[in-house]
Amino acid sequence: MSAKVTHITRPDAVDASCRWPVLKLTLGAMAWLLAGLVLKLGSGLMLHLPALAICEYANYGKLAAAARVALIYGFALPAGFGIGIWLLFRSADRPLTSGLAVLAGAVIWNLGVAAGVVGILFGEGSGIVGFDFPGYSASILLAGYLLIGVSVIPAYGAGQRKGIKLSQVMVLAAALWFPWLLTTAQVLLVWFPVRGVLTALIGGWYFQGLLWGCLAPLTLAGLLHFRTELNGASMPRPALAWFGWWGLLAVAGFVGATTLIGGPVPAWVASAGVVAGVLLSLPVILLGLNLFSGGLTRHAGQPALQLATISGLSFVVVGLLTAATSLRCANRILRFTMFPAGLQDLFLCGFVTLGLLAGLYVILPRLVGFAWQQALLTYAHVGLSVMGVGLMVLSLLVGGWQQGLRLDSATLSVSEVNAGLGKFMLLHALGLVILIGGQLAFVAHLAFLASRHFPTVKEFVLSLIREDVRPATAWVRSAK
Amino acid sequence: MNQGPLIFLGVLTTLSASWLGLVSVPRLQLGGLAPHSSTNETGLVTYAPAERDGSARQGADIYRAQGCAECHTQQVRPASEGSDLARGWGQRRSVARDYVFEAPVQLGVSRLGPDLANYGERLGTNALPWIRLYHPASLTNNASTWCPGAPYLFEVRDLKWHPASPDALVLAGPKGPKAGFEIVPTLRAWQLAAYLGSLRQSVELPEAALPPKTEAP
Repeated sequence: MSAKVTHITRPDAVDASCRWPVLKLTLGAMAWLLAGLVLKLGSGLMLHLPALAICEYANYGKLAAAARVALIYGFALPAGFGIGIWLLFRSADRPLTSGLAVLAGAVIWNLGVAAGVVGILFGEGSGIVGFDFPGYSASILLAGYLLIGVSVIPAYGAGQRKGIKLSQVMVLAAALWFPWLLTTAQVLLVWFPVRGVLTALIGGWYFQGLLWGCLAPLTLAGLLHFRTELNGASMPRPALAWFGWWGLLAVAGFVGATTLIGGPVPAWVASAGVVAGVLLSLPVILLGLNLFSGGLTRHAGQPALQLATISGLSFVVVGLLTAATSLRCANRILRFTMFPAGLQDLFLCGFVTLGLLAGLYVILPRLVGFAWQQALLTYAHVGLSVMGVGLMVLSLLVGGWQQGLRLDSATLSVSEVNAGLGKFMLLHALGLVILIGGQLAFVAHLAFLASRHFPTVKEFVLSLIREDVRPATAWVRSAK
Repeated sequence: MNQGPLIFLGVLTTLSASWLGLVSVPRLQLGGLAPHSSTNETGLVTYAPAERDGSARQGADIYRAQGCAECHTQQVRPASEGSDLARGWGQRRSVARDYVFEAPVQLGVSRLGPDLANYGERLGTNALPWIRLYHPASLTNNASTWCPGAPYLFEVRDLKWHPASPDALVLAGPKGPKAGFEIVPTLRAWQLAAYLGSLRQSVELPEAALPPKTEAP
């Protein structure tokens, strides 16, 4: 395997202005991805080996919630925002002028995630799925996000005069949805907490809104942008893509009701869930058509496109399966089984994680000025990631389906139902180990590049700090 | 043309619609929900559901903190939506009024363990779930359970220094105490037990009738 040093073109003013803020967001996210996957593996092991749960700070419930926080708030959101910021200013061809604020926001955000994960392990979690962290952690996250959002959106909007692209709109929509979702959840679940099933309703609205209204647009924005840029193929049906996008946004906020079908809520909420779930299939198909027709898979030798292809496929499959499982006949069988957990893995690990990693393959070389050099590590990363996610998702979907059929038969006890699920959970844990192995290959590649280019990096730091200071001080001056 | 304001309006409208639909309207409908009151023949007014006492409320905090809701649900679905009633997990379906005192409500994520909406009913009045909390696999009918138990809610005490406790666990085998020692529940175990014992949804409500009692032949 050749380890020849290949310099790509020196980053231009836009890449240079985004370098440190985006690197802070994305590399911090990679650390959380590894931490989240390890926590998830830990929770799976607790399920198989209950004897391990001798320590109060690491039982299945806590580890599962902590893993969710690490993966969503530690990895997916910051990586998505990092790629989104680069994409906004790259598309507008203007340098980011608020790099320092984004950097500071990223530091605060990571502190919030760390406080959340530690808080959950110490028993201070909220007990609300998707909003699992303690209230103080939510406040820190909101402060970090506001520093990022308030500095980036006006800076971008002030100079934007050209026609806006769909990928840019997706990033902006996610950036506007997120603070509203988080603030509403913070007020109604933490500061002035509602009681009873309203907690579950607002929690469901928040979590599914976060998944389909923030993480999905951030990931799709990257997929659409890089598809055009790497393949040179324009969007085949732009009108349908725009229609699909607004459809997705219109339905995204209502998908939360699907989590309460059959639950102790007014009948109209459950009906709204069924309708929202079924309607979700339409935008998913329209956006999927635009992702795949005209060639997301063309030039498929590139790692970014390989990951993007699997990510796009995961998006379509998870959307269609969510629609199918919201039907009452399927919901009766699959609700409360591992099937929804499999769908969540497909969404978070298959669609979001692989899609964002595809984005990192494109933007990191441009930010630092080095090309990826170790083909073996790249193959290992892509191959193991796809294999790991596939095994995780398939084991939970098939195992969950069987579990649902057994649970629906009242003659079998829960222990008897679980007896058939064990082998699938073991396969899921194996998939996680493979996925972690893939991410370690990616981190090793990054470490290799950093060590190989250390003298160059040192020169870069010196020169780039000088470059970065200019726009940063300009922002400070304009703020005054 | 600057499309910014139009896009901003579109994003705002979509989010507002779901906010109205799943946050504001349910708050208007359910925010004022109160326990159902009824008066019996002696003039005594009772409320359903009843509010928990302090110990059970602290137990609810332990239940939330330990993440028990990842494996246990607390909702009985109607017969058309699942086998919950046939399994004996409740006499009627759960309704919103059952949860008016819950903050946060613990409806649950999955059913790797049984539903607990009526665990108090199944437990009975005087029984305490110590073995189930300490080491669930020790129960004869529960050998293949995935529940890890919570041994950290119990204390191993040396009988040389403490008088024997009437609440000590009767547990033989490798999980039992060594000779001269006993395993007793801590205050937190008592609180969690009080909470689990308070999980009951067996009172008839206007919107959730109990099934008619079948008379013995």
